[in-house]
Amino acid sequence: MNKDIYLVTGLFTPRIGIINENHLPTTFNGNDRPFVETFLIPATWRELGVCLYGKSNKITGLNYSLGLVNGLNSGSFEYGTGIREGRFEGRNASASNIAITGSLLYYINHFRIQASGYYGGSAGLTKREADSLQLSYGAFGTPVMLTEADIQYNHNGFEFRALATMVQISEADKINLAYANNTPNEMIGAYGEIGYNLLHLFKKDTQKNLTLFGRYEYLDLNYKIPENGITNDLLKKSFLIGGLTYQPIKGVTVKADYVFRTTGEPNPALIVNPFPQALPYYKTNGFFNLGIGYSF
Amino acid sequence: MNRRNFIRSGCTFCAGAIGAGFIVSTMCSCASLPIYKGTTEQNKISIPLSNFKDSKILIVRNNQMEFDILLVKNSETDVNALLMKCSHQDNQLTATKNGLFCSAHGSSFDLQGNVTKEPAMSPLSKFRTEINNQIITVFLK
Ligand code: FES
Repeated sequence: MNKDIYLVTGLFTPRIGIINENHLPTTFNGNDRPFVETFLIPATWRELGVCLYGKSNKITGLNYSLGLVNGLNSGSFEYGTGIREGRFEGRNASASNIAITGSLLYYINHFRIQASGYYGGSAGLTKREADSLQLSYGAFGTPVMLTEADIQYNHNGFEFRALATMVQISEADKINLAYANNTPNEMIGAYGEIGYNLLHLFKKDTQKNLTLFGRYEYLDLNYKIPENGITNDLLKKSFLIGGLTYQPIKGVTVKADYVFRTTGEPNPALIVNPFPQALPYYKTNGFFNLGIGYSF
Repeated sequence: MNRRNFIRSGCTFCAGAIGAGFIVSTMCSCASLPIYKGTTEQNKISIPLSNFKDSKILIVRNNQMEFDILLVKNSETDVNALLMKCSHQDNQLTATKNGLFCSAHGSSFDLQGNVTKEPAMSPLSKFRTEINNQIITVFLK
């Protein structure tokens, strides 16, 4: 539109969290994307819509976005995966609900600070279908609200990032009544990560990267549940991740990491086939991951 | 969500955003960068050095060009001219005194145009400059 403002239309990834827009394997540490940005912020999250992006000339470093996108489909929410399966992602988008999404992003002194939000309907049905399932219909019917704030720092080989987010589904009880998918009222999650490029010790302006990093994540996918929901401590998870990221050249990365996962005790009422039919459940688990990634 | 909850959540979000904005604004002077609106003549733009004021960087805007140019004053006799177009997927960049940042996918560049954070892989396009009698000339071709 001009040199400070532009409009994106069609299928795009809204500015929510860090990974959604910035998901190439060369841009984050670890083989897995942060779990908080997989289960709470369902990155990569593309939707059909229109979004205005801009930057301020008055406040150096301030960027903003405001968009209107297709809503979610609560009928597809799957237990234990948050709102992830409810994304239309352009395919079969019903446009029977819409959502507003917006962000403020600020660059200052090697920091990148962002706050973003999403508020939209999730009935994903025609009025008659929604009525028959007793779901609220309308542009923002059966609403889902997601709020998020994050901060990143990059300087002199040192990097830090942290993110906190919350998803609120106020009519989760109606969704459970219609689909029996044990949808929660609230889910929360946060993570913090630090890393240091070891090659920076030997050459200050190195273009290579050998980053040693550590990340801690916590998420609770049933932080608050409606009266007709069943709580399960299995969905309270924490992850401790440590590893190395090596980039011999730009665009290529070799990653090695160890993930230590801890969860709560599964609710026996939700176990359909108890031991010995089902394998025993271990509340702690470790995974060693090796991977190669590239971007082009 | 009932109306009361919606208003409460909405107000919490707005208050958070305003609070964050306030904290951020107290962390810095938030001065805007100087912008010089110039015209091109024979594929050149001329900019008086005085436009830098106290800043080390100056944005040069021209209606015939799709992207702004960032002038970086390394010394009184040496100025870089960088095209503010991300080398990843051509998004406009945000300039600050610490570098150039792309809000689209997170690339960043130093004030010499080198990539400091991927996904961009190549440096920013640069233009040749000359300084004569306190006037900087940027050669666009
Ligand atoms: S366009 Fe700049 S990082 Fe992708």
